[in-house]
Order: sequence, then C-alpha cells, then structure tokens
Amino acid sequence: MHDRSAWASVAFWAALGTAVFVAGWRMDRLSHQGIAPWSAPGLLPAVVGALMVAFALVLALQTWREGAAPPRGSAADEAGEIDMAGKAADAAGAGAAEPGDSWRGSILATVLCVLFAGVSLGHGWPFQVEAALFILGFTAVFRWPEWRAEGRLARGLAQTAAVAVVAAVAIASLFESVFLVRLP
Amino acid sequence: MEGLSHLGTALAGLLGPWQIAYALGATLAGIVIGLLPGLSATLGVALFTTLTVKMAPTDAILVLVCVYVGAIYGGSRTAILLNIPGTAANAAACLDGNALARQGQAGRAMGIATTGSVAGSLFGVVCLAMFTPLLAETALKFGAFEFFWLGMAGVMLSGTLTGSSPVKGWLMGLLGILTATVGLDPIHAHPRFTFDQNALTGGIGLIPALVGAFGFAEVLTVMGQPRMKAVVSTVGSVLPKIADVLRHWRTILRSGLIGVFIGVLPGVGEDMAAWSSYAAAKRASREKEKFGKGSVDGLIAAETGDNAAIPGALIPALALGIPGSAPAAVLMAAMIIHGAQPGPMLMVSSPQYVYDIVGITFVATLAILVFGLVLVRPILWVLRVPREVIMPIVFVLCVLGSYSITQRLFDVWVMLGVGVLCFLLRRQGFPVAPFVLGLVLGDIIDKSLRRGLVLSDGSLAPFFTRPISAALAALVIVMLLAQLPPVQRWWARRTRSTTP
Repeated sequence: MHDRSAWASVAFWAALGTAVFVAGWRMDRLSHQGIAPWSAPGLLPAVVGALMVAFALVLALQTWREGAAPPRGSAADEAGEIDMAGKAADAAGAGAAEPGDSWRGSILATVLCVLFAGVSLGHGWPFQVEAALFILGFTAVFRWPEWRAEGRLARGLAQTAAVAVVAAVAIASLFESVFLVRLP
Repeated sequence: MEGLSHLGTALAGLLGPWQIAYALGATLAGIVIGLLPGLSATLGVALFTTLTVKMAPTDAILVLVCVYVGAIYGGSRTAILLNIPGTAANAAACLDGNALARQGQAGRAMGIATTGSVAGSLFGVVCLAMFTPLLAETALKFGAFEFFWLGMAGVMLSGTLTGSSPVKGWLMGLLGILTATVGLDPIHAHPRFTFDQNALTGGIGLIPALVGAFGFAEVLTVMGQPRMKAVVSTVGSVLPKIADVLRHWRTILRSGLIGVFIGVLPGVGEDMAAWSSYAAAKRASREKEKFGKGSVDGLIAAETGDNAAIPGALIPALALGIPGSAPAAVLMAAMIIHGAQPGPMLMVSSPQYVYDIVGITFVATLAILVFGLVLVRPILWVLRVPREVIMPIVFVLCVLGSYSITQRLFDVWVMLGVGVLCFLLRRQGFPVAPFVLGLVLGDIIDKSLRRGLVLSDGSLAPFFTRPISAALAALVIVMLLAQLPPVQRWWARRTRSTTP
C-alpha cells in the first residue's frame, strides 16, 4: 500500500513538473514588446518544472531502493542516538500515516467543511445561522455513536446546539463589530 | 547608542494601558492555541493577522508577536502533563517533561519549562537587537544575483532540514515557488497560470494559503486520528527553583545560542531548534542516562532552544526579508500588509521599526512569565473540550480569516484547495514548511533571477563568480549533491577510512 502511494506521488510530481515546464516554455516571450528574452515570464516556471521532473526521478530512484528497507529511525534508536529529523518530522506530522489512522474521519470532515465553506456560503443565509448549523452538524456527525451508546442523544444535541449558537454569534460579532469585516 | 535610544523609545511606547492589554490578551490566546494539539503557532499568527488588519501597525504586530511567543510556550503545558506536544516545537519537551510529571513533579517541570522559555526568549531578544542591524548592513551589498541564491538556499535548506526526505522537502519548496508565480508577473504584468480567470490575476493570497496549509489541513489530520482522552494530573507549585536555574546556566547559554542559530536558518523553525538543543545538552551531559527519564537539563535545553528560535527567526526576516520559520513568514506578510517592507532597506528607512519589534518581543517574554506562573491550572480546562467541538470552531475561524483580508469567497476556496492538497501530501511524508518558504520567497527568486540575467545580458557567470553569490551557490549545489547515492556512498567510505 505504501509502495503504491509512493509511486503515485512520483507520478504526480513528474506529471506536474512536465506540465509546468511545457507551460513555461510555451508562454508568450513578449518579443513584440522588445523585452530582453531573459526576463520572459515563463523563465522561472520552466526552471521550476524542469527541477520538479529531476527531483521526481530522484524520488523514483529512492522509492525503488527503499522498497524493502527497515522502518526509518530503527538504527538510530538502537544506537541510542536521537533521530532528530525523524522526531521533528513525526511531530510536525510529515511522517507516513500511523497504523490505525482513519481516512474515514478525514474524508467526513472534508465533506462537511467543503459543504459549508465551498457550497452553502454566500448564498443569502445569515453567516451566524450557517456557522451554527455547521458546528452543530459537524459535532453531531462525529459524536452521534458515542451519544447513542451512552443514551444521551437529546442532551448531547441540545448542549452542542447551545455551544454552536454561542460560538457562531460570538465569532460573527467579533469579526463584524470589533474588526469591521463584512461577513460573507 | 542610537540603538539604545530607539529601544528606549520602543519600550516607552509599549507601556500604554491598551498595549499592555493587547500583550496580555494576545499572549493568553497564543498559549491556548499552543496548548491545543492540532493548532499551530503559524495558524494562530495567520488567524490573528486577519483580525488585526484594521489595527494600528505597531499594535497589530504587538498582538501577532505575542500570539507567536505564547503559542510556542503554550505547547509545553500539554507536553509535560499529557505527553502530547501542543505544537511540533514542544515534542522534545515531552521526553523529560512528562517523565518528571509522572514522578509527581509536574509543577517543578512547568516551572523549569517557564524558566527555560523566558531565558531563551530573552537571549534571543538580545541577539535580535545586536545582529539585525549588522546583517542588514551586510545585505545592503547584495544585488539581484545574491538575492536569487539567498532565496533558493532558503527554500532548499528548509527542504533539507525538515521532514523525512530532503527530496520531498525540495519538491514542496518548488510547489510553493510555482504557487507564487500564479497571477500577473511582477516585471511585465503578463498573466501566468490564470486560465483566463479574473480571480487568479491577483495571484494566490499568502494568508488564505497559510490558513489552509496549517489550519484546514490540521483539522482534517486531527479528525482522522484516534481520540486521546485528556486526563490532567494534579499540579504542585510551579515556581521555578533558583537552584535549578543556576545549576543549568551552561545548558541555558548553549541552548540559547543553538536556538538563535537554528532560528536564523530559513524555514527550519522552532522544532528543530528544540531537538538540536536537546541533543547538544545530552552530548555534553555527565548524566546522559537520565535523558528521557526526567532530566531537568533536557527539559531546560528543549524549552530554551525553541523559544530562542523565535527572535532568531525574526533576524533574517527583518534584515533580509527572508523568514526563519513559518510563523515568521506570516509575521512578515503581516508587516507588509501594515506598510513595512522587511529587508535591508528597513534599517535605513525606519530603524525604529526594528527596535519596536525587539521591544515587542521583550514584552511578549514578560507576558509568558506572568502566565507561566499564575495561570497554570485554569488554562488546562481548555483541554476538556472535545476536539469534535473545537475543530469546527477552528474551521469557522479559518473561513472568516481567509475571507476577511480581501472579502472574496475566492480566498476561501483557495484555503480549501491548499488545505486538502497539503493534507494529502503530508500523509505521504511531504513537509509543509518548505511550501510556505517557497510561497513567500517565490516573488524574490523570480524577480532576482530575471533582473540578474538582464543585468548580465543573459550570462550566468555573475551568479557563480561574485563572492557572496558563489558561496550561496556552493551551498545549494552541495545540498543537492549530498542526496545523490554515489556521493553518499563516497562520503560513507571516506568517514570509515578516517575513523580509527
């Protein structure tokens, strides 16, 4: 699974790099304006695209070589050294997903957030109402099984609704009245 | 003497009642942000940037620096009590801080963490005041060639030192540079990657992109992880013992130096400063076996290092216009929004501004001392709020924060898109910090490359022959070559042959 996603990453970067290089190369060089060719707008994109493809190839080589390598950090741990980059990477969340991580939670959160911010916002409903419904809906979706198991569905919903209304009104008031932002 | 005069003016300006209120309020908000796992200092500074757009410039920067300092400090609370770092910078504090807490010394551990944080920050403030003018004076000699390599070195260094693979870091840096090219090109105003969309002619906003990368992406990451129950253990006295401080003065000094140095390195950040300080303290210690089991030395080293990195990150941001960390990058963006222009000319055109930042950082340090001593138990109440309630509230703030800069829904969509992209890439081991550096430095790299080539009439020679350019180019090339397997094998053979 890890290998497949690693190769998918390589393909993504190679494709992106190629597309960017081609776009930069084909970009208008504005020669009709008499500008110096070295200041053409497509120069940096072409350089970036070429570097992306080069690094994607290096990544492909690394992925192929690391196919059967031991997990990172094991040698350092055995030596009693501190694997600083590894610990910083793990702490910063740049490591691969830990066993037990759930895509389900992230996908659900993505759908809810995109529905709120990408679809419903800016269509005439007051922001406070949309925000309160979003907070209530988000919390309810994730805590429903727990509330049901504990037999406090109604109480959980009521408490969350109260928190959602207070939070939505407070945030909207803060932005609108204190920081003078017109709400979407 | 002129510097002292400017510093005095800065401190006098920060003694007003509103300024004290802003400092305390913003530091408290920063501590809460740092306390909550999943929220980062970068997100805190980005969200508060949107809130402070209409404030007076000095007050706005005061709020942002206090949030920054508070967030880095606040994460040590959960690191010590729950073994969960509030921010990545506090991960090193987990090792010994939590061990001390489990031995019934939670209060002592928090007192030590507060002492280390304050000492590190004060050391960093002194370095900020001393070295920013010196670096800015040196940078006045820089031309387009030097700035091109400086930008590239910054992005490459960030990619090399963060994350699990330098190549992945470099790819993220290039993605950031590419994102910065979207919109009208800064020299000829020619549209690039706009796909005939008016909304894209203004480019990708830095703040919405950062809020997406560090806010929305974090919400998605947290909601995909197993829930951790916060059980807050009892806390004794948090007053630091003078003996603890005096006995570990060497560690404090060493960690302060390391923290400032790491902070100066572009895009590396506070987490690497903490780990580097911790590793150095362990190497120098006569009680290495205690590290990881409740070593006071280890805890002080980690907290001093990460807090010293904050002023350290501001040195290149102010002097060169190149941020030393992701939060410093957002702070730089905020300075530009409020009319300042970070870079070598800042010390020439408005030297008072630099000393205002020094004064603000000093005030923020005092604020964390106050809260570190008096607000330990009440603030931990925040940890009892379920993440299913906190995360949607954070997301609503992300939405409004992205929207409020230019009042366009397009910026909200940028936040969503960048957030999903960074979430997916992070799961594959691609770090986000180099992307931020690339986004911030892309404009400088673009303009410098093209200006340099126009000045040299297309010749690449000045990029490699001017002294400073040559040194920076060599750094970039060495970083690249060091990742090639044949070079790594040669180095390993050479190291084995010289080791007795």
